[in-house]
Amino acid sequence: MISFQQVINFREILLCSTLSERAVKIEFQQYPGPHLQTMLKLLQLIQTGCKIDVNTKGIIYIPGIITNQDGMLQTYNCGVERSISYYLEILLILSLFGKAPLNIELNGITNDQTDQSVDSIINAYIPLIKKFCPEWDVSLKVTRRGFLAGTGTIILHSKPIKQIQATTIIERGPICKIRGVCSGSKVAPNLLNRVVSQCRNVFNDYIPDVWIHTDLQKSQKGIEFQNGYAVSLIAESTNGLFISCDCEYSNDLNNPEKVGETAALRLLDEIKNCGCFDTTQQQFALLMMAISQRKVSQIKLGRISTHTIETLRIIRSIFGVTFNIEDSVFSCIGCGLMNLSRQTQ
Amino acid sequence: MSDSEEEQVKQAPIIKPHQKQQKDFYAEQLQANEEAESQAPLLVVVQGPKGSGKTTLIKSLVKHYTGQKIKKLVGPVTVRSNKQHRVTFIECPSDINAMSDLSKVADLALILIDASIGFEMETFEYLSLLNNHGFPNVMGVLTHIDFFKDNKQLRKTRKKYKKRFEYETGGNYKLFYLQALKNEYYLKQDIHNLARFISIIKIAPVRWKTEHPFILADRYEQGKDNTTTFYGYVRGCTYRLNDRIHFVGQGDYYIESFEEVLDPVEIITTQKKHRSLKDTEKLVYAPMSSVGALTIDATAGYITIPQPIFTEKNKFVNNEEQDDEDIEEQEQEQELPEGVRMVRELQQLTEGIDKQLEEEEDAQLLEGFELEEDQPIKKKNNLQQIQQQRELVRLKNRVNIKIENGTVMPISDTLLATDLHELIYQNKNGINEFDSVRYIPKVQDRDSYREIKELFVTGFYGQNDVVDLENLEKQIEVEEQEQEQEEEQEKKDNNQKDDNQKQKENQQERQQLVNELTNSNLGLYKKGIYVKIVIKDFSSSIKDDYPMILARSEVGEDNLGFIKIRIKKHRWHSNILKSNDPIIISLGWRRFQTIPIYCVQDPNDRLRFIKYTPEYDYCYAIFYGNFAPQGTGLVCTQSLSNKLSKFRIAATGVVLEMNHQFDVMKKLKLVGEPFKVIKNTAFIKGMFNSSLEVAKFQGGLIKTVSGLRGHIKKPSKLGPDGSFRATFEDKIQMSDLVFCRTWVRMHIERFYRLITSNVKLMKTMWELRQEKQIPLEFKPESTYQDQERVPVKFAPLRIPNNLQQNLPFESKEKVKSLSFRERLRQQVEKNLPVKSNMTDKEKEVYSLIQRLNTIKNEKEKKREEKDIHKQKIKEAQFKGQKQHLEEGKRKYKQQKQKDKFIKQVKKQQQQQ
Repeated sequence: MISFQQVINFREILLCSTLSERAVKIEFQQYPGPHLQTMLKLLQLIQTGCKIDVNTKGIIYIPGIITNQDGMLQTYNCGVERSISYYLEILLILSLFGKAPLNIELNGITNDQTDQSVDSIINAYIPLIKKFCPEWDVSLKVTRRGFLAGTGTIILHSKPIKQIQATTIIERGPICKIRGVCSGSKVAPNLLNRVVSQCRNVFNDYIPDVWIHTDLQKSQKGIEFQNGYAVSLIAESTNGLFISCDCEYSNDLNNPEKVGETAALRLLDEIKNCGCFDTTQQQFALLMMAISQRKVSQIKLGRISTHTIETLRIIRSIFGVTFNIEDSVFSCIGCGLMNLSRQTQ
Repeated sequence: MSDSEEEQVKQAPIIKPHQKQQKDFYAEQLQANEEAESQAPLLVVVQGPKGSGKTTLIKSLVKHYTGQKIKKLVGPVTVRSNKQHRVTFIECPSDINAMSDLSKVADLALILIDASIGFEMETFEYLSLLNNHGFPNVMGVLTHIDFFKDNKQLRKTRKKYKKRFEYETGGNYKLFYLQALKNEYYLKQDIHNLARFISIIKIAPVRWKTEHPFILADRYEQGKDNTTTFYGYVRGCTYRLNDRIHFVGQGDYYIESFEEVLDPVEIITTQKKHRSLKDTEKLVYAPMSSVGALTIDATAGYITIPQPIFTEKNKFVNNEEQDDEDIEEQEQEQELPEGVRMVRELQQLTEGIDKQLEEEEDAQLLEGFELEEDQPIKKKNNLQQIQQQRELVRLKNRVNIKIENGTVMPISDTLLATDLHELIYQNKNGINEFDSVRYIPKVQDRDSYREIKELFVTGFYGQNDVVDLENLEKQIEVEEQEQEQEEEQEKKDNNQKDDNQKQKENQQERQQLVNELTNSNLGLYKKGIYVKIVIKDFSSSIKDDYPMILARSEVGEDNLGFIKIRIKKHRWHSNILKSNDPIIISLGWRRFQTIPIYCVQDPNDRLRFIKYTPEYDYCYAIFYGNFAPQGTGLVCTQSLSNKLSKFRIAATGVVLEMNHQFDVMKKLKLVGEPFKVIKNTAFIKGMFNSSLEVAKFQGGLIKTVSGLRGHIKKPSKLGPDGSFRATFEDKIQMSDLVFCRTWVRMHIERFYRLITSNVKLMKTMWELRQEKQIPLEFKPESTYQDQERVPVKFAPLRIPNNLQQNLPFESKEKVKSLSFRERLRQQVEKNLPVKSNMTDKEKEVYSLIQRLNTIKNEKEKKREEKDIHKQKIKEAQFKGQKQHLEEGKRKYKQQKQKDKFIKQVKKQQQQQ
């Protein structure tokens, strides 16, 4: 059993532990909150033989095998503490190593200020994983938007794979497209158009190929929507890499023009400072490298987030993979993780 | 067309999907192997039954390669076969454990067959072990050929054995013939041929080994503080340092230290004109067997024995020429290389080396090797140099790194590896503050991003833009020109560089990357590196002649859970296997005893329990054991005894799936009988014991023997407890039995016992019965018995009058059935005397005939009686004769016995 002290990001530890099927003991710096239970219940839902002992000070987690309830459609409520993408980020990686395809409907928040939006997951996070496993069959659809009150719904279908491939991604290439989704609920339709036009205004200096969709949540009977709007922007490079950034309506950013401009500038900042993957997504790329087949993988990154550093430490203590870092190129030999729960005939 | 197509289909060899996978895998691996710069020594396992000449073969091969004679062979022997190539020989004991372990690690298996005996059980066992643990290269060696004096017979047997060997291995594997012994070694020419084949062989990659690094320990040392040190080459694939190691056949242990040490049999990299090895370069490394009398030092003990140089200096000197020789010797000694001189000094030692070393602070021994063998020291220096260089780089490039806003931002554009590396892996303080991966960039002015305009594709890109037609045409022209130019350039490039060259360059680049990673102290050890492993608290005892295999415990593979395998009883094993009977399984690196249950898969994917494995077919087995990747082969045995009374391999299989629970079902038929039937409803008792049980089965499907289907409705208060009301599709008979078909989940035992040197095994049912003299259980109910069937008497069919009148003519009774009164009248009428219409004359004739018949009948009666009487007399006579004869015989026998007795008595009297 591997023990961790003073833990804040328990999620990565649980993810690595489940992948490697090694038991872990976690001691919190402080109790994370009710989303811990939501997370653990979700993990229990998709596994068999998983044992969890939890209290306010820590967790003892013995992972089982990811069966995904034999591919049956599950419905799970993610609550309002954290957004859906908080759970999706690890659920997508876990679903790669399952026995049956994962079919799940998640209810909760689709866009909020603490986590990346579901649109960024669809447009940047899934392509990132696909870079490492091209044969992966996945579909993720947003059926309903939800701001803060947690009325959103997404449906995920994901098929398991055999093994992750070693990949070398060093050149990003120039940015050739900018896409985006501007979503809102219970606001005037005009508002979203104003956000989009302000984004365009910023990008006009750089590139003409800008296309931002608007997605306004229509009112439905029996559901009370919270009002809000957000924009998620994706920059695509010629080498097929995606850089994402999000911006939401908040107290500081209280008019559509401000939201639009901030979003566009944040994307420019990311393009300027990040390498092949954006700062939010980078640690997942590193994790995929660490669990890939026994060959050399390389990626080039720009600035490193503190969260990534913690993740790298977790990767080392669970998988034993240490990265070699030279000129912001991260390289390693994967640990050759196999999908042990896969069914064969 | 269709016919020819069909023929083609018939002729085409059936390639199973896993075979194709394996083929692809081979192609991939062969390419990968060529990339790999360094190779571990070729591991040659020499296997054969007792007395087939394994030790002699290894000794002969070692003598061929190095000119050295091994006195006593223990453990692996590594020799340098040429400058780039090393070979390790290991002898395989005929123990089933050692055989299965060595079949997992072998690169090449030399299978020895005693020609005077023929194929023996061990050979077949070993071949099927190899088959299931991934088939490496195999070479057959036929020994004891001198047994055949007749040339023709020899030729015939050779042919026969060759055919059989090819059949068993299923490929074009060579069978060598070793002629007679000469001075306890095989003939030079034979060994030369064999050695040549060994050194040019291309290793068939085995999937298990390419994913699981291991170390076959050359030697071990047991230290004072409960530590044990093992030395050996890293084999299989790149070893990633881990905290635990699995000692095959002993258990898991924590690693105290793991480090690279000097390679005893180094690859010679210096390029020289001569391809063959010099005498000094010929090496044998066999630390556990007795080759010469050289010592082993703390870090890198090995033996270099160019034979003539190391002889004791006074050995060949005759007394007469002593003086002259002495002078010459002294002169020579000065010219001799320092290593040799030192060895000679060592030979003359009277004190122990330990004491000498204690006196001298610097170990002189190491320096001694420096002159003779440059490489090891160089390598050690290299390691140190790399470390020093790394530190230097760190010091030079130390740049401050800001930790700000949740990110680490380097000040300079190029981010410095060393510092970031240090920050990530050496600092242990948590620097993260919030559990979210999302990074929100701090936005600056809009104008400050102008500089990144070059990061965009500006101008013509994408099809959404509206472009003027004229511009478009021009642009297309320009593009075409560019394309032409590019094509021309490509052609030029192609001429300059061949594809092969490009590939080579690519390979070199990749190799460089791997080298960089392995050299940068990230805990990676390449294949072929000689390492030293220290294990603490190694409790179990080591047998020297058993292979010591230390395997890395892989992620996820040291977990326990249920494994589903496809299994087939081995066709040579004498009996079928029973569910819930313990069995020993060799899977992955581990061997363990476990309790499997066998099952088959029904068409609706249900796993149905079966009591025994089928005799000639595949079935599934589920047991509790160590996880191993899907597709890993496994071998089952029932005992570990080395008595070769029967074929020891009980079954073979392949891992299919792993899970923490499996639903294996067993059919259970509940039987009840009706006690009241009202039309389609029936009340049934005896199926359940309480109304609670009934409640659980409400709505369940039931069936009578004759096939009437129905449902369980509700528990009823009539009848005994547990009876219920049921409805059927038709009225059932009171005599019918009612079935409810159910499935019960089988319990799979969580029993797992790793096979170590001193393990106590669980006994099988058969062994227990033998030991405690318990006979097989006999259930009289289960045997087949003759059934007495009473023919059923059916009441006549009666149709009510009312109904009959309304029936259509077709269904009406055509012959009128009579009522009771009518039938009675008919009977009375039948019995009434019939009035005769005969005339008087006719009456007379009739009476006469009657009388004549009476007389005739009387006569025949008398004759019959007479016949019976006669027959009785005959039988009595026959019986009497028989009795008489038997009496005579009996008397004769009695007489004979009497005579015998009298004779004996007389004899005894005479003796007395």
